[in-house]
Amino acid sequence: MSLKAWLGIDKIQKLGQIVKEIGGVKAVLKKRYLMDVTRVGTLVGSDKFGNRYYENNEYFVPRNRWVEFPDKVWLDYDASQVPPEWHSWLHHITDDAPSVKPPPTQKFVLDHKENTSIFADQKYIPYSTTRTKVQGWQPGQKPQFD
Amino acid sequence: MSVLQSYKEFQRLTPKFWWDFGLHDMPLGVFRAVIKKQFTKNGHLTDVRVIDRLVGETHQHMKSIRYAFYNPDHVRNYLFAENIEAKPKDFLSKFLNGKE
Amino acid sequence: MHRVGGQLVRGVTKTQQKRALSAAAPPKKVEVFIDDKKVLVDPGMTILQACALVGVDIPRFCYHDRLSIAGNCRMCLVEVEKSVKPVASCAMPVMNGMKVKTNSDFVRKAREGVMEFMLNNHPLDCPICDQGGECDLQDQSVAFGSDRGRLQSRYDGKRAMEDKNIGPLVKTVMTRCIQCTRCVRFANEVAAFPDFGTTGRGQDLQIGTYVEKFFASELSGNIIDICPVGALTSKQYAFTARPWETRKTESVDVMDATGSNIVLSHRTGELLRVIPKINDDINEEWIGDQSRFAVDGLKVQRLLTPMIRGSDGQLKSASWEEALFTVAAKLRETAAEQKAAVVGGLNDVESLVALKDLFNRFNSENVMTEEEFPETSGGSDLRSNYVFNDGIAGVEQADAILLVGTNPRFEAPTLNARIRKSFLYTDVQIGVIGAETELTYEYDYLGASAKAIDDVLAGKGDFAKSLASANTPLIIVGAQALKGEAGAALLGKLQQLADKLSAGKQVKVLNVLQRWAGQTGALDVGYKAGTSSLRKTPIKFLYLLGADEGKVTKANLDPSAFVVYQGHHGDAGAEIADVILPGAAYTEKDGTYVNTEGRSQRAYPAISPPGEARVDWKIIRAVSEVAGKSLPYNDLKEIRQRLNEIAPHLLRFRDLEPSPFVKQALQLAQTSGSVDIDVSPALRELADYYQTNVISRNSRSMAQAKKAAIENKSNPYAEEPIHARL
Repeated sequence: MSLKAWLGIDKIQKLGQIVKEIGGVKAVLKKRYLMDVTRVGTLVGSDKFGNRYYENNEYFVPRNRWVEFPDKVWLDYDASQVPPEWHSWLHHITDDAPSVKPPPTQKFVLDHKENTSIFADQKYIPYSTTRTKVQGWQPGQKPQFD
Repeated sequence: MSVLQSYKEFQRLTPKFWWDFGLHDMPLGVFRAVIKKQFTKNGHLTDVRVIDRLVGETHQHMKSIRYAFYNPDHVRNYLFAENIEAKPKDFLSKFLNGKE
Repeated sequence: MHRVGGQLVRGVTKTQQKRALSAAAPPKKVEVFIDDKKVLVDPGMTILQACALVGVDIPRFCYHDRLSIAGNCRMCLVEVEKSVKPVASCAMPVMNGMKVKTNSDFVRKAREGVMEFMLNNHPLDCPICDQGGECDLQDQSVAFGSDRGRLQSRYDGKRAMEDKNIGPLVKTVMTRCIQCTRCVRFANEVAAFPDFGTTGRGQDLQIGTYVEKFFASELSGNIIDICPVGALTSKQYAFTARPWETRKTESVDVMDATGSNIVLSHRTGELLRVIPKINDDINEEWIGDQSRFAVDGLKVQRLLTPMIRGSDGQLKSASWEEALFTVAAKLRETAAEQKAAVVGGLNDVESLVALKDLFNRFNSENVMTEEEFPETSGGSDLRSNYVFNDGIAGVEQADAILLVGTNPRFEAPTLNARIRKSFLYTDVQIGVIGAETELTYEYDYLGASAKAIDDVLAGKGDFAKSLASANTPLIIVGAQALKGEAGAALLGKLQQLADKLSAGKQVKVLNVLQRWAGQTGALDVGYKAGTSSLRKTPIKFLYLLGADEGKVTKANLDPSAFVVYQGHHGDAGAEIADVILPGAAYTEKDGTYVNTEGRSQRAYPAISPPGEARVDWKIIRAVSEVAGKSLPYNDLKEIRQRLNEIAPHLLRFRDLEPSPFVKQALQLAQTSGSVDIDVSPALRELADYYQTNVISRNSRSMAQAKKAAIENKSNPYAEEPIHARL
């Protein structure tokens, strides 16, 4: 082991490098506040919501790919804000990122939406779609037998 | 005299009753008044046998409270029965309220 | 068509016993020993009936006490002492000194054998069969069969048959058929549909109409009850419930005026099906198709909330308080002469009494029924004018029947079944004045115009002669023919004829067959018949109680009239209404219904009225309270006391009370006036039968049946009508 490694100075050098790459102490503090980690990596791609996806293989496998949410969401980031194609890359289901190999899609696929079940006005409450046992009469309605 | 004795014993038991059965949304003093009302409700009786029997029932109630035989909801129902909204009695109110 | 003459052995019904009692001298009784118990029976009886008298129930599949004897199922085998072979007890008449053993080893072995044979070809359909739980085969195999069968189904297999299509009402799974031929005998004898029969013999015996035909009979639903297995089941009720999870409530049918007793099967507040209840005086064991299948009309087009017509002319849902207040306010405002009430034909007597009381409290007597009845001969004051005087059971005693302006086949199917029963087993002569329709018996057609009655009075023609010489003649006149001035003259003429015919006889001769279940009750309670008086004065407040036949339209009323409709379906009456008060149908209320004989019957509620609907008489009572003049009854007992005050027979349920004053009615009769009117009945063919009242008009099953009946007319394989075949 080198002297720097033995004394632990290479870690401090690494930190200096990270601060330089992120762009200043203020940026580092902001990133720390939002993400709870201070790390840099290669930008693999971004999606239409503004999420940026990074990879850094110096970290071990579960922690080498991560997402950074845009400033718009601030602290209200949520795992469900990640669209499905990036989700598979993020969770190591596939090797290639959508920016490298776009995933197959169908024209019936809906746009991705985050999980809104926590917002009382937007959450889905199931309702009955069956007929009632006794059907009422609307004025002007004639009996229909089909 | 046994009536007074049983009353005093019951009132000694009242804080435990009040706490264990989850009735502490009302102050203890109010609860004591409710218990007192249960006793004064029968204050007009003169027949000794009836009074003795009621005293016996009071002892039974105290035993049940100590052993937590009762359910809090049932206790509430029993003690505050008159506060429940009465069912309609006359024809038109029953008709408007629902079928029968 | 031929009659089955003479004494046919049938079940010992009440009417049979009556007839036996009225016979000249009772035959000498015969001594029979059943399981060492001595019993004395009439000589015409079969062993099975004799055992039934003792209390021994012999298992059977093909025997039915209202049909002829077939003896082909062999399940009723019993051991008779001197006979080597077991004897079919349903067919063997008793003989003096006969010793019968119904539970010996021999009999048990016979039963197990028969059951084994029956189950050999029977499919393993119990889990999917509708008859499970009420299946004769299931019950009898448990009670009388052995625990195992010897069929090698892997090598021998079971026979299967194709399902036959006999219409949208009855579902057939012919593989399950055990060829008991009950349905064939029913179709032949009771329903007069001989196209339904057996083809082939032995293993290949198929039951059906050979070529695909609609079971064109108004009593077709009864083959569902009759079939002991799940071969014939109800299409409407298919796969809905098992009998042990349903609750059964007795009630009275309102689709026709006979007041047939029914049992409503319901579960969790939903009505599932209607089956007949035995009443030997009215409907025996049968009910018409409308009564059975039209109940699915009770689930659609229902009035669920009170509605008020707003200023924009549209009906909108409102609360009960608003609706009652509106009605009561208008009721108080209008003058007594400008108020009127019109009731339909499906109402119970309680609501009729409440409505009349309400109107009387406001000084109005303007309550009337939609159906008309003449005012002469005492009108509806003398009960014998509008009631089926001789009783429906009295049809069996008749020697000659004259039908005037009525088609009982479609107006009262169970009454028609009785006329056919009389026709088959006695020498009754039937004459028809009206339309030459296809009836289930042979008849002499006397003409379309009521002038033919003059000929009958004079004695011209064969039928007139047989009518005059009959011991128990009967005239059945349809209520529909008694309309207006001509109707009054017709009633008078018929009363003259009846008077001439009934001289010295027990029968009253003249019987009126009403079309609506609520009509007799309304006339009993004091309603005027017919809406003609409505058109005389301008009406500003009209209360419709279930009046859906459209006899009163907006044009008949004052332009500013206020119409209140109280009923259970949205039909013609609800369309013209300004306020709608949702009421209960006949399955949802404790009602009293008076049938056309004048017999009062009680109906029990099976389910509660849907949505915000309430029981009819209670709505009227609430209106009275809000209007300030409360009616004096608050619950069922009290209103029944009121019924008792008005007419005590209304509370004497199930009793038929004869109506007097026939002579006085004749004195008041209008005997002048021409009766040259066409008295053809409105219901001529089967397609007309299915949708006659508001409930059946909204029923999907009835609409499908009507369509099938119309299509059946163009079926090239349909046989000629019975009347044309001689």
